Amino acid sequence: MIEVVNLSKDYKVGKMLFPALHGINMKIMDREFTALAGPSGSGKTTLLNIIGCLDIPTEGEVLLNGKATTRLTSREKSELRKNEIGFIFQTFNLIPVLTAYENVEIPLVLLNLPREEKEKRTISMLKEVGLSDYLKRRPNEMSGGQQQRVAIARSLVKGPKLVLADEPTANLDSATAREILTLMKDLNEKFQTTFIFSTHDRLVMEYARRLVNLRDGRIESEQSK
Amino acid sequence: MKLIIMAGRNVFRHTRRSVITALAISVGLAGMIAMDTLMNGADKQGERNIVDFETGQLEIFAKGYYREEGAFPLDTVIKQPDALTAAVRSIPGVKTATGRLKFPARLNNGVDELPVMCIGIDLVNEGSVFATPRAVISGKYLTAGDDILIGAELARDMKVKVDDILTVLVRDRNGTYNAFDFNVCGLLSTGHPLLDRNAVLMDLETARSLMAMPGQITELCVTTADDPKQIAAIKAEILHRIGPAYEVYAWDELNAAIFRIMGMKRFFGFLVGLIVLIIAAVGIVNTMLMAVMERVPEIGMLKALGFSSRAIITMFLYEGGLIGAIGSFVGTFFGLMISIYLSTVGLDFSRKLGSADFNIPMKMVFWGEINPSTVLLVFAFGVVVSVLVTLLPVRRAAKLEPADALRHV
Repeated sequence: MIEVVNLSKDYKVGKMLFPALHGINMKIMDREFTALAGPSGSGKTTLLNIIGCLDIPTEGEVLLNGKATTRLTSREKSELRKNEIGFIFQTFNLIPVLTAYENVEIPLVLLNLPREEKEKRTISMLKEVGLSDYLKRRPNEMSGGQQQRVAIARSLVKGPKLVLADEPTANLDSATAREILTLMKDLNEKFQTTFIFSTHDRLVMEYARRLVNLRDGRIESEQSK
Repeated sequence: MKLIIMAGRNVFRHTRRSVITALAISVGLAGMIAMDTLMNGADKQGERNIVDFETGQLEIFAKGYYREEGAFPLDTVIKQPDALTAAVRSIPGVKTATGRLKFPARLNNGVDELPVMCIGIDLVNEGSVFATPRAVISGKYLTAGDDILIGAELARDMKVKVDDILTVLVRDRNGTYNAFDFNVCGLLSTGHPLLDRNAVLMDLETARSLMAMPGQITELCVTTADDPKQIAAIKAEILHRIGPAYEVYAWDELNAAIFRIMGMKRFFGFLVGLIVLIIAAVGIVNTMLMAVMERVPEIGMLKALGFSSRAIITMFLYEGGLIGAIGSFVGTFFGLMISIYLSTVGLDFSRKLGSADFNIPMKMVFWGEINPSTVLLVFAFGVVVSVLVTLLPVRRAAKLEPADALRHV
């Protein structure tokens, strides 16, 4: 379970303070498929980054299974991300010099698994996202949808408890966006992984089982399906 | 291992940029190696010329002679050379010894007259200490009493050839002026300017007679066992045996000023190469700075996946090191090629510089001599410098919070 307690975040630009989040409180249960919705600047990405230990809050805490992640050292956060959190980015963020196979394999390199185990998991995950014929393709040889599938495979290959996706369909056409969302939802069910993703697209929001609306750094409303 | 593979592929993300950077390192290293080969060759050539033609490995003088050597103090000479030679030859480590009698003279061809240094040599033993007999390039080696050998450059300056007659004018030990006609039996080319431009070699007995110095020599030149480390010990033993009436110097002590100059020339040559390498290092900093700046979001992504700052720094260090290693390998290869050319063909400055004097006992044709330890050192230096300068731009980027790195445009 993820518990967000009185979370605030201010960005400092020069001498000016720009508040991004104001006292956010929320709980996300295991295996949820939750969307953080809201217009640009509403604080979606900031909230995702703090939950994923990529950023530090100005105030408040995030508890991951009862453990306060905001108090962890940089190394401990790194360990937590390595073992328990997967990320999917809007711009895919694949490494251009590596093949689809190698991109998916990267998180496993850090886990020091035997070579056979790494190979088995990587191929199996690429198969899950429908890219078993694209193992040797580099990112520039794949479509946006295919690249995002690789990114999804990369986020799930280590078997994380939580996957955070920041606007995962923003760079895709609507048909591909639907495919990606369906895939994410299927994988959420199959692997029992908690998914939290941000979006400002109504179509995407339809796929979420729980919708948290943010505006100006505050939770405006919540809906569950 | 994966980090190395990623670093390797990243190097070729911008092939042209990496190649230009590596090339800058190559030019620097090739220059350093070639310069060192040339300077090392000059050192060795100078050393050989001194030992083979001027001093032997050790020189023994009567006490006080060496301090006044430039003024040819003919009162301070070795008066009983036979006993001294026998004593020195009996010392373990000494191979052999030969006496020389040096004195100033003027050489006249009937039209021009030049100041020269005459050297009376022991025809029997000279060849066992010095390479003089092998340096005759025209005519024949000394045989008769009225023959002289002169340096090839001196012969050119005096416009004489083999079998011409030259007059040697001297002021003997008693202050009496003497003149004697000699037959030029051969020309010498030693590579040592002192001999090639200024020396007249004659039979020791003839020299003694000319200078009214019967049975005397100015110096006893000694050749020792091959191991140069033993020279100091042999010198000490000689000093101990022959007593305080004599002084003994090793060849490098006798030419300390020359070696200081050569050392400085070598240092400045290396400095030029180093400056080129520093310029190349700035190139690496620039390349790595660009590589880091354009990949800050990628650094953020890697940190999001759980990569530590250390792993990211290591990956970039591999990249810098790889560019450095490629540059160093190519630079070392071309440096060695140039060095091999310098060692086998040489570099002839004689046409451009003529008889210019650089205070080095060697000809204006330079032969390089490869120093393998310098080649290895320069290669390692290239790689290490490349890795170290990569640290500068990478350290800061790797310490960014992942969110800040991901936001970076």
